[in-house]
Amino acid sequence: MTTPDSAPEFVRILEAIDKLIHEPGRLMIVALLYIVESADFVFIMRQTGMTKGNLSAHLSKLEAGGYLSVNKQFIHKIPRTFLSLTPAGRQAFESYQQKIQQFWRDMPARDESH
Amino acid sequence: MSQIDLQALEKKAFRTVFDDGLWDLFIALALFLFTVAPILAGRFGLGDFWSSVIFLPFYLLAFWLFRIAKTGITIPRLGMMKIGAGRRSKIRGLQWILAVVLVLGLLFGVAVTVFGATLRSMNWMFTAVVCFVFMFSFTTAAVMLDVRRFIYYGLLIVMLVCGGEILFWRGFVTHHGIPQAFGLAAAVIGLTGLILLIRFRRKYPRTTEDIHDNA
Repeated sequence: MTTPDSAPEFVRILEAIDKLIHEPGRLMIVALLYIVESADFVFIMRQTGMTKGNLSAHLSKLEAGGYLSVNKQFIHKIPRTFLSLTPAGRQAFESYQQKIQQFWRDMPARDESH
Repeated sequence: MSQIDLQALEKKAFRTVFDDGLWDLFIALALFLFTVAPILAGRFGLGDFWSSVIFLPFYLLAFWLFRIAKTGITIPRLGMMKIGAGRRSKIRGLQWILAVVLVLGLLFGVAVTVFGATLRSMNWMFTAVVCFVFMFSFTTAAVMLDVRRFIYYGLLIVMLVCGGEILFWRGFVTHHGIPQAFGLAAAVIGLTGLILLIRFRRKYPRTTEDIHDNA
């Protein structure tokens, strides 16, 4: 779908939005990792309420997109996978937030006369 | 597609760390040591203040047990996170405030011991300082850690300490009612912690799941 030149600005913003982050599940993951330094797989699973498979799929996509850093550590001899946003991931999320705010600002008010 | 309230998200994520009730159990154990100390004072003639000081190593033991419980119970169920810079500076601020309060409390205790009867006769001052220390500490912790029930714990301790002092004036109890006040507070807070721990274990079953399980 190509946006016509005559399309309003808020529609153009939606077209330009980062679709890797925009998916609700991945948005939750990225938002969670944005507010902490890092978190392990189990913590993210508990906070987002996702199943293991669903979470793994989203994390793989984010890692492939260069937004996620995966670091395996041994904590008390138990392997734990710590996940954190890369600088590109943090920047992408901030840009996403700005675009969403811009979208709501540019969105025309509902015409009550109709 | 609404905007995300990052502050609310961070508070919610951070608060889950306290869902296990282990901090409540640790606080209850620490208060219980306050209960035992005055009783020891009578038996070994140590004085109320010094009988509390000798328990300091036991607080470290209690904290060590707390850390073991976190590792064995909480982490396998809830996972781990490393907090962000904003929360880290809040916690550092809390640690400094509590350290200052602890030092001032110790100095006050030393002063009471050194000046003996002169200060001891002012029972109201001793009670007021104890109430202030606990209320201030718990309220500060509640604000910095976003855990509201800590304020209620502070209020509970203040009410019980005042009640204990009143009973002491009327001759019903000894040691300013401290063993009774802190014993009851420890029981209430400990029970709360236990209930939270049971609910936590039911809500979050153990899991060894890891991202690489799917590889």
